[in-house]
Amino acid sequence: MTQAGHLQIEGVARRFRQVSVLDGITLAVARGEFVSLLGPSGCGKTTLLRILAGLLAPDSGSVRLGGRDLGALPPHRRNVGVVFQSYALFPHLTVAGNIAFGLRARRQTRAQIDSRVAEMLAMVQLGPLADRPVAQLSGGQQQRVAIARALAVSPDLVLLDEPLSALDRKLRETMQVELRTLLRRLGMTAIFVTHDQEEALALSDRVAVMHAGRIAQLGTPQAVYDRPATPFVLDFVGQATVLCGRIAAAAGGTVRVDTAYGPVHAPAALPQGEAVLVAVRPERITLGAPAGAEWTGVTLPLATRTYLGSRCLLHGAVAATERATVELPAAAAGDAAPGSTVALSWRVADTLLYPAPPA
Amino acid sequence: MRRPGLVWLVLPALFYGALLFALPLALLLIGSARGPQGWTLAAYSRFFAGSYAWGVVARTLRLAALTTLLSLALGYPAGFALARLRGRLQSLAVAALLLPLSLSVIVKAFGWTVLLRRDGVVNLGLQAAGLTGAPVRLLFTETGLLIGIVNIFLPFMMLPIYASVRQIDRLLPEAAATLGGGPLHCFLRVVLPLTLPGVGAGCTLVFSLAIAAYVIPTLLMGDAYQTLPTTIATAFLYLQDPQRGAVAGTVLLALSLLVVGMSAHFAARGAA
Amino acid sequence: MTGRLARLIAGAALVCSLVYLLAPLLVIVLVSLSPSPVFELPHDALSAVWYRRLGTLEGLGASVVLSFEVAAAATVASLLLGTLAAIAVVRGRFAGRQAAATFLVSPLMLPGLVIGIATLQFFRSLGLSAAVPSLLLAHVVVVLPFVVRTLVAGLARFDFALVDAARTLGLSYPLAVVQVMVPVLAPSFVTGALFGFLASLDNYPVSIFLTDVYHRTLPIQLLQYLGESPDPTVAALSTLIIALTVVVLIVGDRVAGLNRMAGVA
Ligand SMILES: Nc1ncnc2c1ncn2[C@@H]1O[C@H](COP(=O)(O)OP(=O)(O)O)[C@@H](O)[C@H]1O
Ligand SMILES: [Mg+2]
Repeated sequence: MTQAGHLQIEGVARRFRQVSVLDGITLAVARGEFVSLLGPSGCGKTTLLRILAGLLAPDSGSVRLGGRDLGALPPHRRNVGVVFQSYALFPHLTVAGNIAFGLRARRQTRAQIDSRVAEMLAMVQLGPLADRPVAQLSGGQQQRVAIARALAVSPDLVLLDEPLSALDRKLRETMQVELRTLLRRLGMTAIFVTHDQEEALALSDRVAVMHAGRIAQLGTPQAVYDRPATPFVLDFVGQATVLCGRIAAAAGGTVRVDTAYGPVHAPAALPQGEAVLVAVRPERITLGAPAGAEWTGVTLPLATRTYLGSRCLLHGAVAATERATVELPAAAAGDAAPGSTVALSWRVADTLLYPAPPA
Repeated sequence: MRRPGLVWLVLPALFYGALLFALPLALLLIGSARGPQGWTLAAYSRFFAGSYAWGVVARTLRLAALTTLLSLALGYPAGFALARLRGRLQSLAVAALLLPLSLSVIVKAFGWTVLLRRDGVVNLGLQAAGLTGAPVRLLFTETGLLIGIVNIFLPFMMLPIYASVRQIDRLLPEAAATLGGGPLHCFLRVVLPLTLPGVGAGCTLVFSLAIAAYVIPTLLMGDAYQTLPTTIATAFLYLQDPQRGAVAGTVLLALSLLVVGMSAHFAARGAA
Repeated sequence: MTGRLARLIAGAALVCSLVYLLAPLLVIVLVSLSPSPVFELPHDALSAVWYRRLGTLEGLGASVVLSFEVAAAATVASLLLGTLAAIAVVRGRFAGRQAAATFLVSPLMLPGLVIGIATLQFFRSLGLSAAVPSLLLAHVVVVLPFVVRTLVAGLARFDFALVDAARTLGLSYPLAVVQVMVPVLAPSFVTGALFGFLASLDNYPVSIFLTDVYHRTLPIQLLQYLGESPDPTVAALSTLIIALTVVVLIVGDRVAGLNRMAGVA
């Protein structure tokens, strides 16, 4: 279901030497919305951004921005700002020169340029560094110049290609907040590319998880995390306990799945006999047997126990195709020790069910 | 982006190189092996008959080897120290290295003919230091030649070593200390292996430049000291015997290709 | 302890090396300023007498003009050929790119005298005996490797995302190339051109076979002076050559930085 958006991507496909990289991407983004493209390296995120920016032509499909078809427009007529993964700051220009670049290209007057540059410098808090060559800046400062440069021309859309991936963890977290606040304040429509799922969940209005050239799931961060549409999304976004099983009984919107560690109940309508994957998010699991009809669970041997300060991770000894991960508040982990067998339980409603992948 | 068309851009330069560099060299090789009756190695046997030419080749190789060794002995520690300098001092030192490197060989050789004279600065210095009572003869001796030729090629040894030490400094600032062993152990096990590519590049460069040196031996040793390059020049400029020059040239070319090829081989093996 | 000693030795080696490297330059400058006619260091007074005598060196003016003309023409031709070749080698996707680059740079690694005699024989076989065209044609072979080497290195380092960035900021592709690629690559152009120009200006192993009595390049003329009985006028001339080299290096440093020029950064 696509509603008419500010940015409307329809069936965009692109191959490189017979290899399909984008395979029919359709996505609508509302004005002022912040959408993340999340996916592993090499899944085509940069390729999609380059198509949106006009730096690369799609083999098929269309892109509309603010009602205008971008198809025939070269990059310099699109008014789309891009923050490149490498920042791509002009090394022969100063900080101010970089920020002014787009304004000069638009032949604004000297006075207009000066005041806009000053405004942008203040916005990213780089005023005192205006006349420095960009090579002398730290990573975080370069990042801010790149953002200021892209936003200075008041683009209709800003594309950010893994803008924070080169920064160290601490700085990245600060910049995430800064970037989000800034874009929201300006009401900027943004597409933010990342391979970091936490970053995507933390920043976005909606997340588009990309897999094999398609959008595997598009939804709010919570929807993507709580109800992953495919085993790939389940795996890529967060962790999970995943067990193999077969549907033993189906009745009234719930099914009973027999696994090697006991029967599990799940809300679903699938035919009896089908091979499935049962999954549940680690923090939904508690220790102990199911406490009533709304609960379900398994019993399995523990392999390892990892203490993480506030929390504690337990890993079960399960088959190679399966994973059992439990995340508990450290205080609730009790004395469950590696080697012992433990009962795990969770709400039936939290059970996720997927058709088993063909072996 | 597909860019097969870019191949056209390289063709003018390749064509130029083929016509004015590769073809003349090929013709030189062919000419050295052709007589009035077709293909013959007569010119080679004539050149290598007797011990004279062998002496020339041996002298050329010996001079290049000595030059390389001496440059390495001085250039390794010096290149090292250069990489460890910081800021303005390093810029100054690099400038002091680049100036003689970029300067005409003839000018430098001229400088040495002045320095090495009986009443030249070197002799004055030796006497002032009390190392010798009477002036020493340096011009037209092998010692003098070595002093001059190492001077010309030393920068080519120092720069690659300097570059390789800079790389290490960036890669492992403290790794050396964490290895536990003393400084000597660290040098032998960590630093030396990592600077070997620079040493290899420097030695190749110096050796292949030194076997081709012409001005320095001519000015500091005179005509009596014949190496392959002076033999080539003499054959063409004074004896008007192009085939003799072509044979000597081919031998010199083969030697330098051998050196460059061997070094490329070892560099590839080292990198693999 | 060992470390300190090693550092001391290395430092001493560096100081000795630099003094040793600069010694012949220094002595030439000093001798040129000495009033004595027999290559003496100046004792009490400096004198410009040998500089005033430069005019009496026979054939000097003509050789300087010829050398600069040849070097300038060879550099311009090499920049044209070399720029195109470097773009093809770095950006192209055809087989043999690396081999092409190696071939174009290879004259740097081969003995100059051999290239010189090969060129001489080639020109003779073509019936080309005029000195000036021979020098022009052959010096492109001398200069081209410098240009190709620095431009290939510069282009390989060039981030083509810069051109993309300029386009998204509102410049058409040709304008983006002019406003971004040209200034960013300028240092490579300047260094390649400067070193190539110097190499041509200083070249003797190729020129020595192509010059004739009426057309001598500066290095050949200088060799000639040194072969005759040299007086400190030649030192004055050499000092001017040193000064020119210093100027070229200063320009190069301003544009590209010394380490880049030395090929280590
Ligand atoms: N210009 C190109 N030529 C050939 N293949 C390309 C080109 N650009 C990208 N690809 C390929 O397309 C795939 C997706 O690349 P990219 O969009 O950069 O991925 P991401 O940004 O998600 O890491 C990769 O497998 C990459 O090798
Ligand atoms: Mg990418």
